[in-house]
Amino acid sequence: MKICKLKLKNLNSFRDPVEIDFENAPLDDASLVAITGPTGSGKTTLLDAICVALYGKTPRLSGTGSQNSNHLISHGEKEAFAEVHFMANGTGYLATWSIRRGGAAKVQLLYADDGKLISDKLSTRGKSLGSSQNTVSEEVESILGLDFDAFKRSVMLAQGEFAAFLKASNEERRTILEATIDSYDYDLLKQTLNDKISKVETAHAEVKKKIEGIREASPKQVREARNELDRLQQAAREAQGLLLARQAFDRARLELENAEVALRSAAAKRTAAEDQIEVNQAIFDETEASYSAAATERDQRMQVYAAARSDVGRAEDRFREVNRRTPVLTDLINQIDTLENQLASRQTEQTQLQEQIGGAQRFLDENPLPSDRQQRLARATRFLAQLDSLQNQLEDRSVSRDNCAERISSLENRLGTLSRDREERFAETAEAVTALENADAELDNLQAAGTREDWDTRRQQALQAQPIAQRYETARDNLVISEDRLSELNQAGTRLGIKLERLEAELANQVEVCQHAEEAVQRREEARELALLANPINQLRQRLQPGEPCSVCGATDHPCADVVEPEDENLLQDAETALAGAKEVAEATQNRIQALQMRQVRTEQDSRNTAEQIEECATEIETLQDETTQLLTEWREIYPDADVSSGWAAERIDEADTAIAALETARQVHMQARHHCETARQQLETCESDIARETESLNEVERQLSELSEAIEDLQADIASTGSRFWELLPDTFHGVTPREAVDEFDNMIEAIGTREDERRNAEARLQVLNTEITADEGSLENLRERHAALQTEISAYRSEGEAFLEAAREVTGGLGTEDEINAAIDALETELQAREAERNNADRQLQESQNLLTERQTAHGICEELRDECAEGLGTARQAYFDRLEDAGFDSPEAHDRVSQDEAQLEAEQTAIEEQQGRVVLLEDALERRRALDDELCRTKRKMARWKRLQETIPANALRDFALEIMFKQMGSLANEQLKYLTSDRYQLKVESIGDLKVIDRWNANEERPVETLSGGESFLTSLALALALSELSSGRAQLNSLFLDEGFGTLDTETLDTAIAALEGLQMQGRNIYLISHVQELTRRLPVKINVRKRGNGSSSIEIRG
Amino acid sequence: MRILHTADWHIGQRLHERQRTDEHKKFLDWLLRKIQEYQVELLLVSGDIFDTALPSSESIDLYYQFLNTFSKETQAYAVIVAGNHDSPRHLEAPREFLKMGRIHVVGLANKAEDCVVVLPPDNPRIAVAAVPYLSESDLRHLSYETEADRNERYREWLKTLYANCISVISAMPTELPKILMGHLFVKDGAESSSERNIQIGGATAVHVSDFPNDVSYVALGHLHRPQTISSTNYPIRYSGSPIPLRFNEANYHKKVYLLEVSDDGTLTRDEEIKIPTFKELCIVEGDKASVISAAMNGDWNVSGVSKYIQVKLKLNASEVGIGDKIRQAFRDQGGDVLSVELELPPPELESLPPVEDIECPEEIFEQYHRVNYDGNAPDDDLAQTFRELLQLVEESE
Repeated sequence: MKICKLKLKNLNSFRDPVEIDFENAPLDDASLVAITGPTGSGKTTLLDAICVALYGKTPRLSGTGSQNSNHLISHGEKEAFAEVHFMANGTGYLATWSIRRGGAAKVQLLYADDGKLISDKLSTRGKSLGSSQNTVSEEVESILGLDFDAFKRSVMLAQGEFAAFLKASNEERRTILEATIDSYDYDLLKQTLNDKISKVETAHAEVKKKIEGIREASPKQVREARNELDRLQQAAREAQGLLLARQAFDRARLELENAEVALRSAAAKRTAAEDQIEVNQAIFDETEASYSAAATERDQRMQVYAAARSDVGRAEDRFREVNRRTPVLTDLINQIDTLENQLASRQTEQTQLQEQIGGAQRFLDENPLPSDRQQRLARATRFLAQLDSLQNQLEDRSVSRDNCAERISSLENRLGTLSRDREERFAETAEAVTALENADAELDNLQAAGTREDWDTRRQQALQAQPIAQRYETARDNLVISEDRLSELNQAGTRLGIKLERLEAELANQVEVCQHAEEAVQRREEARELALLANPINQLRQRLQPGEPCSVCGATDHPCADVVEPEDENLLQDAETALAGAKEVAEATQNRIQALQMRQVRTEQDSRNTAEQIEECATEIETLQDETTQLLTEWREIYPDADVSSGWAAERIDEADTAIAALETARQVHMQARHHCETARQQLETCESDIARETESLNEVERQLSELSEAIEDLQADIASTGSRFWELLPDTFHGVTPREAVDEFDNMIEAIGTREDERRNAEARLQVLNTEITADEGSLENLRERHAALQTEISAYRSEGEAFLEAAREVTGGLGTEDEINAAIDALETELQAREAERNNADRQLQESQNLLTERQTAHGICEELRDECAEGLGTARQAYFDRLEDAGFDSPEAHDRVSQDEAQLEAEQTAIEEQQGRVVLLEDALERRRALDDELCRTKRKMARWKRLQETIPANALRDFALEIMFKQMGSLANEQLKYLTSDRYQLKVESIGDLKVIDRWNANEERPVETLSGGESFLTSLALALALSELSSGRAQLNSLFLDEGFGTLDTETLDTAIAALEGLQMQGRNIYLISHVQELTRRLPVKINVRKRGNGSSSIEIRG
Repeated sequence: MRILHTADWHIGQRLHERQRTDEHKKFLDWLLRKIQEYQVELLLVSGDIFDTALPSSESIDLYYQFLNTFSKETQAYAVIVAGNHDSPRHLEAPREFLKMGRIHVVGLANKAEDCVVVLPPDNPRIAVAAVPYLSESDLRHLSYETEADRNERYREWLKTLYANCISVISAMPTELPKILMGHLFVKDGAESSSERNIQIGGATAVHVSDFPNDVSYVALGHLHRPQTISSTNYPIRYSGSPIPLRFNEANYHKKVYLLEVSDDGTLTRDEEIKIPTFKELCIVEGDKASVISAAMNGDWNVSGVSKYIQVKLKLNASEVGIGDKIRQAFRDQGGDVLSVELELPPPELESLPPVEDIECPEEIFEQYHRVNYDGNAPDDDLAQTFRELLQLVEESE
C-alpha cells in the first residue's frame, strides 16, 4: 500500500486547501522525507486526514458521540474535506471524505484509473434495505487487508513505544503486544468460558430442582393402575358385546360390497393385459424372423470371410518371410561391400608395395658402393680428423701471420707518425732559437739606454727632487700671497688713521652742541618754575595731600584737589612742553656723543690691530724667503742644471718607470724564449728515441713473419698429401665438396642403402602375406555373392506367392485386401446382427413384461376374488354371531334389539369409570416418563459441566493468551531479526527465548550475548526500529506496505547514532518503502534534504511547505 | 582519445563502522597521478560516487576537492553518472558550474539528449551516451501488471534510451566514436555481495543484446568485481570498485582500465591498471588456537597502517570473552579486528511451533495442548468443547 496523493481542507488547523503529491518531485525522489513543524502545528493532522478518508475516523476521534469526526472541522468553518489517492496490489484507488458541520459525513471510494464507484456508503445501517453494497471502510479493509487498528499500527509506527517495549517488564510487554498486535480476543474467550461454566452449572441445578418438584411415580404403581383399567374395560366390553357384534356385522357387509367393486375393476384390468400380450406377441414374431434372416446371412458371409482371412494370413506369412530375409540380404550386401573395399585396399597396398620394392631396387642400382665401404669410412674419418687438426694448425698459423702483418703495418704507421713528429719538433726548435736571439737583441738594445740599476737611481733622484720642488713652489706661492696682504694691510692702516681724525672732529662738535642743549633745559625749568609760582591756589592745591588737613580750611577731605584753573593751566602746560622738548634735545645730543665715543674707541682698536697684522705679515715674508732659499739650495744639490719644477721631476719618474717596465718585459720574453727552446729540444730527443725503439720492434716482427710463412708452407704441403690419400678412399661421386661433407654424405649414403635394403626385405615379406590374403578374400567374396543370389531368388518366390494369395482373397471378398479390412467387414456384419438381436430381445422383453403384467393382474384378480369370498364368509360369520347374541339376549329380531339398545345409560357409566381409570394411568405414566426424562437430562448436564470444567482446567486463567503472545512474540522476533540483519549490516541478531528473555547477539564479537538493557542509544534505536517494522509486517495483512510514517523517537540520539539511524532508514527505502519521519529534531531535519514543513501562521491556521 | 574507466567509489562507505575516508583519499590521489602519468584525456566514472544518497559533509568535501584538483592540474575531461546509491538530483545540482571545469555530470535521464556528452565541445572527437542508473520506481505504474512484465518494461526502457542516444549522436554533423556508460546489471555478470540488489534474482538484468551495435566500448558500474562481458565485438566492462568494500572482495585485484579509441572508433588500446592496496583486508580462519597463533606470528601492521581483519572462528560452543581476547591478540601486533564471527551456525532461534495462522485460536489451542501435554493433540471431546466455546464467543460479539 502506497499513499500517492493527499488533499485536505478545513481540517483542524489547516484552513486553506492543502495538497501533497507524494508521487512527484521532490517527494518521489527522496529516500526519506521529514515532516517537521512545531508542536501543535498539525503534523499529526496530516495522518488524521489519511485515516479519516480511508476509515472515516482517526486515532483521536473514533467516530461517534463526542468522538464524532465533526470535531475535525476547523473552528468557524462549515465543512471539511479529505481525499487520499493510494495504490494497493497494483491498483489505484481514490478515497474521499467530506462533512458539513452538524451533518453526517459523505464518503466515496473509486477506482483511480476510470473513476468507477466502488462504494459511497458510510455506515452499516440501512444495509437490510436490499442494498448489498459494503461500506467504504469495509471495502478499504478488504483491499488492504487491514482494519483501522491494524492500519494505525502498521502504517504509522509510533517508534517511541517500542523503545519502551524493549525495556518493559514481562507483563507490560504482554500488554503492549496484545494492544498492538491484532490477535484473537483471549479475554473475551476467558470471559465466555467462565460464563458458560456458570450457565452449565445453573442448568444442572435447575434440572435437579425440577426432578424434586415432580410427584412420586414408580413402574409398580403404573402396573397396578393398568390392571384395574383392564378389569374395568373387561366388564364394559361384556356389556357392549351385542353392540359390538352388530357393528361387526355392519362392517362385514360394507367390506363385502367394497370387495366386489374391487373384483370387478381387477377383471377389467386383466382383460386389457391380455389384449396387450397379443399385440406384443405379433411384434416379437416379426423381429424374431428378421433376426434369424440376419443370422443366416452372417453365417454365410462368415465362411467366405474366414477363407479370405486364411488367404490373407498365408500372404502375410510369405511377406514376413520376405521381411525376415531382407535384413540378411542387406547384411550380405554390406559384407560384400566391406569385403570388396577391403580387397581393393589390399590391392592398392599390393601395388604400393611393389612400387616400393621397385623404388628401393632402383635406388640400390643407382648408388653402387664398394663392398669395403665401412672400413673406407672409418679410415676416411681418421684422415678427416688429421685434416681437421692440420687445418686448425694452419688456421692458427695464418691468424698469427695476419696478426704479425697487422702489427708490422701498425708499427710502420707509428714510425711514419713519429718521423712527422720529429720534423715538427725540428721546426719548433729552430723557431724557439730565433725567438731567443731576438729577445737577446732587444734586451741589449734596451740596456744600451741604461741598465736597470741606472734607471732605479734616476727614479730615486726624481722621487727625492719632486717633494722639494713641490714645497718650493708652495713657499713661493705663499710669499706672493703674503706680500699682497702686506700692501693691503698698509693701505687699511692709512684709511683707519683718516677715519679717526674725522671722528675726533665730530666729537668736539657734538660736545659743543650738548653744552647748548643743557643750557636750554636750564632755561625751560626756570620758566616752568615761574609758571607754577604764578598761581598760589594751584600751588596750594598742589600741596594738598589726601588725609592731611588743608592748610587753608583744615578739612581733611579735599573735594577740589585736582581742579586747575584753566588759563594757568595752559601756561603751565606750555612751559612743561618746552621743558620736555629741551630735555629731549639734550638727551639726543648726549646719546650722539656716546655713540661717537664708542666709534672712536672701536676705530682706535682697529687701527692697533692692523698695525699688529702688518708686523706679523712682514715676519712671515721673511720666513718664506728663507725657506725658498733653503729649498733652492737642496734642489741644486740634486739637479744643478735644471730649474726647480715638480712637473719636470714627475716626468723623470715616468720616464724611469717606462724604461724599467720595458726592461722587465724584454727580460721575460727572453726567459720564455729560452724555456721554449729547451722544451723543443727535449721533445725532439724523446721523439728520436721512440723512433729507434719502434724500428727495433719492426725488425723483430718481420723476422717472426718470415718464420710463420715457412711453417704455413709446410702445413699446406701436409694437408695436400693427407687430402689426396683421403680422397682416394672415397668413390668419385663424393668428390667436389669439403671432406667433412663428403664423409657425411658417404655415411648417409651407406645408411640410406642399409635402410633401403631393410625396406625392400620388409616389403617383400609383407607382399607375400598380402597375396595370400587377397586370394582368401576373393574366395569369400565369391562365396558371399552366391549366397546373395540364392537369397534374392528365395525372396522373389515368397513375394510372388504372397501376392497370389492376396489376389485370391480380394476376389472372394470383393476387393478386401487386408485382414483389417476383412475384420472391419466382419465387425459390420456382427453389428448388424447385434442390432437385429437387440430389436428382437427388446420385443421379447416387452412381451415378457406384458405377460408379467397379465400374471400380476391375474394374481390381483385372484386376490380380489379371495377377498370377496373372505368378506362373504366374514359377513356370514358376523351375521351368525350377531344373530346368536340376539338370541342369547332374548331378542327375536334385530329390530327389537335396536329399540332396546337406545337406553344405554349403564353402559355410559361404566365407560366413565373406565375413562377415569385411564386418566389415572396416563398421569402416572406421564410422571414416570418425565422423571425418566429429567434423570437423563440431569446426567447430560452433569456430563456437560464436567466437559467445560475440563476445558477450564486445561486453559486456566490467561494460559492460552500467554501462549499465543509467546508465539507471536517469537514470530515477531524472527521478523525483527530479518530487519535487524539489514539495519545493522548483519551485526546484531535477536535471541528470543521467551517474552521475558530478550537478548541481542553481537555477531561481530564472537556471538556475544547482551541483554537488551545494556544496549547503547543507537543500538536500542535500531533494535526497536526492527521490532516496530516486524510488528508492522505482522499486522500488514495482505498489502505490501510502501508508505511508512515514523512518529518521533529520534529525540535521544547523538549525532553519530543519528548517522547510523539515517543510513539504516535509507536502507529501508531501498527495500521499496517511502519513509516519512515526523520529527522536530533539528539535526535530523537538517540532514534530510526533502521536508514537508508544517508552519503555524498568525491567524491560527497552518500551512505546508514542501522543500526538496 | 585516451580514456580511463572507473566506477563504484562509494565515498563515505563504512566497513564494520570504520570510516574509509583515508583509503578513498589515497585512491583519489593515486587516480590523479595516473591521469597525469598516462596523459588521460577523458575520465569515465560509471556511478555510485557516494555510498549513500545523503553523504556526510566530509565525503562531499573529498569528492569536490578531487574534482577541483582534477580540473586545475589536468587538461582532461570527465563524465560522471549517478548510480543506485547516489541521489541523482544532488549529484547533478552543480552541473552547469562543473562544466566550466570540463566535468560533465548526468544524474537524471529524462530524455536521450540529457545523456549525450560530446567532447571536446568545440572540436568533437568522441561521443558518450552517459546513462545513469534508472530507478524502477520511476517506471510509470500500470495496474494488474505482473512482476515479469514490469521487468521487461524496465529493460525496454533502458534499451530505448540507449538506442535514442545513438540516434542523437548519429544525427550530428560529424561521425564520432561512441562510448556507452551505465549503472546496471547485465545478465551473466558475477555479483559480489556488497551491491545493494537492484533486483533480487537478477530479473531486471539487461541482456547483452540490448546494447546497440556500432559502439567502441561500454563502461559499466554496479558490480564490484572487475569483469568483461565479451559476447559482442566490443567490450562490455565493469571496472569494479577501487577499494574492497567487503572482506570477500579482498582476494582479487581492484582495477581501473586505460583505453585508447582512435578517431574511427577502433579500440587501439585496452589495458588494466592495478590499483595498489591502500589498506589491507584479511580474513583469518581457524580454531581458537590457530587464530591466536596467527595473531602472534603475523605482521598486522605495514609501515604504520594496521590491516583490517575479519576473524572467522571455528568454535564448538560460544565462549564468553573470546572475542575480546582475539581482538587484543591482534591489537598487540598492530592489527585491527573488525569482527570476530563464529563459524558455528548462529544459534537457531528456538523452533517455533508450526502455527500457520497466528490469528486462529484453534491452532493456538492445539499447539498449546501439545506443548503442555506431552506432545498430544487435544482429544476430540476437548477439541469439540473448545470449538463450541469459540462459537459462543463469536455469537456474543
